[in-house]
Amino acid sequence: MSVGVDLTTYVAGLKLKHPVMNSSGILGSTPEHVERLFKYGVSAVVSKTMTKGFRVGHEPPIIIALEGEGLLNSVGLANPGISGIPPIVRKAKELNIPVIVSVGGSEVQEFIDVASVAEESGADAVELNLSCPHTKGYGIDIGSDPNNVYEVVKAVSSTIKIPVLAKLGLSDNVVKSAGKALEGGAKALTLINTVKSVAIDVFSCKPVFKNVYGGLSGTPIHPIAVRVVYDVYKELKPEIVGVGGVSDWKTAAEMILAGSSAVQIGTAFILKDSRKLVHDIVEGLKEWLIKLGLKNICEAIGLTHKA
Amino acid sequence: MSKVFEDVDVAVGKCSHITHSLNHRASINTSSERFHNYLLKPAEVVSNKRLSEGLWRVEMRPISRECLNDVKPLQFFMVWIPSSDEIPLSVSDLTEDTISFIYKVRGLGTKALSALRPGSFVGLKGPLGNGFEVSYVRPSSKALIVAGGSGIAPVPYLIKKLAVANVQADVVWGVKSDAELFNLREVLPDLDVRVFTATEDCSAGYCGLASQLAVELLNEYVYSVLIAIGPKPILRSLCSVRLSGGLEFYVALEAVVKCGLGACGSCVLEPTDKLLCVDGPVFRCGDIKEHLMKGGN
Repeated sequence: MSVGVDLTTYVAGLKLKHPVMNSSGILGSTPEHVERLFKYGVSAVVSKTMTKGFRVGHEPPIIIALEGEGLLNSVGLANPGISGIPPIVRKAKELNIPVIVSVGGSEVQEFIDVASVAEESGADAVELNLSCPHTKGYGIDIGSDPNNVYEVVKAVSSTIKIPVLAKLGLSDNVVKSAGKALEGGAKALTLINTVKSVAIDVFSCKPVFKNVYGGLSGTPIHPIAVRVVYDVYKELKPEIVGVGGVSDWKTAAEMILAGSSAVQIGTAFILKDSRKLVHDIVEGLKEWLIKLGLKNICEAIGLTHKA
Repeated sequence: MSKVFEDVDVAVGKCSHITHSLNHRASINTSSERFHNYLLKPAEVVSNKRLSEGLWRVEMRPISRECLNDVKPLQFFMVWIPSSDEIPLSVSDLTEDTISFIYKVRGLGTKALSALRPGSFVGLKGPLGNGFEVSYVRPSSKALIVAGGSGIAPVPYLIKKLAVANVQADVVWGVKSDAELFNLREVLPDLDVRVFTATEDCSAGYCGLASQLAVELLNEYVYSVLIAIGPKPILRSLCSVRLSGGLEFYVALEAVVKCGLGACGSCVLEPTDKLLCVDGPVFRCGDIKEHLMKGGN
């Protein structure tokens, strides 16, 4: 039924056999995790955000579900540090799957150092995490200021040769930050990260997370993510990887219509059958393209803006 | 045409039209059970008592008893102790409206849990993990359960469910010293179960390892299933034993579990890509041999 429909897409110069990757933060910190993600059927593996040194992250609880099919996490950028990058990249190469290393940092030099290790290890691209909402001194603390975004992206882009993606989160400045990231040399934007949130237990009267703040993901943030992708695409027409509540072919299609060249999945891998999910989305997208009378996915990217 | 599109009747090529016409029925949500297990459900501590040196038993009453439906033996809950920690505990027993856990006080979280008095509130995320399917065991046969140390925690509920399936259990419980032991029958009134204890320092029961005692029992009696629970060394040594044909062999593993829902990957059972929290903790011995043979605890 879907013969002849081409889902091949391109992000930051990477050729992907279909538009569905995992989002950073779902597994992705050991070779075994990479193998598991590969079995999920993703077209590229995105690593857990790596910092220069090992980070134990926040103490549990680190993830809970919330009413409305959302997850709230406060993992706290737990990761093995730069020594964890080469084994991950090696495993991805062994499996012949593109690998994007998510890079974190609390200052410009840390981003450069981690991105350089990713490049030396043979990663296909790096994704700069400028938007983690729950780790003080990292992520959104840096990325909510467009000038910081420019500074970090520019510094990394001028140091390494592999493509740089900038992952931005929800903020009033997001369109401006997106522009600054592109100006700084980002080849694509990943939009959006989880949204800063708080959950309180009404019996103990305490915040659920010791760290108080968490990042909300999944279905509740999908329309917000679509809005950001829509606005940024409308303004700047960059290559975008859409993230936030993608859980089936329809939510993926919405992201693509809003302007995403590819999508990433996190929460749905946890709440749905992770071994079937990508396959179902890919098949659903093929059927959808046929319904639209389109021969390849590239024709659907940002189509809502042209309709 | 795929069924997901059967409600779509739109002109081809008009994206804006299609955006409004695609039916939500296309994305039927099959994940609601998993989702509910991942919610944090409030529960009130009913009792919290010391059973032996290091081992405690806490009983809790969830505000809504829904999370107590269909709990399988060897499934676990992430127990949130407000302002302190969240720890994975396997289910020790269930009643109509309460759930119990036996736990070893070893870190800050379990220490904080042991300090909770009746009336305190906690949060329960679960049931999690695959659990043990008692219906797979041949009725009227016998099961041998081998528990190492705090691996005894899920045994009462396991015995109870096996009994309902008409499977009688013998239990081997191995500990370092007799101070860790408590009378299992105290938490298992009314059940016909033989308990064999083994101590490494020879202070009570069989002098030696639980795995050695288990092998002796396997040579003496006929069992249809062997379920070993506890630290890696005991599972490893039992998995290495050449077993007679017809004996099903399961192990329930321990690992560091942080998120409990397959996202963080801290419970990956290297060198495999299996995650204890979603694929386990129960495995057939053969399915997890690579991990067991890798060494370590």
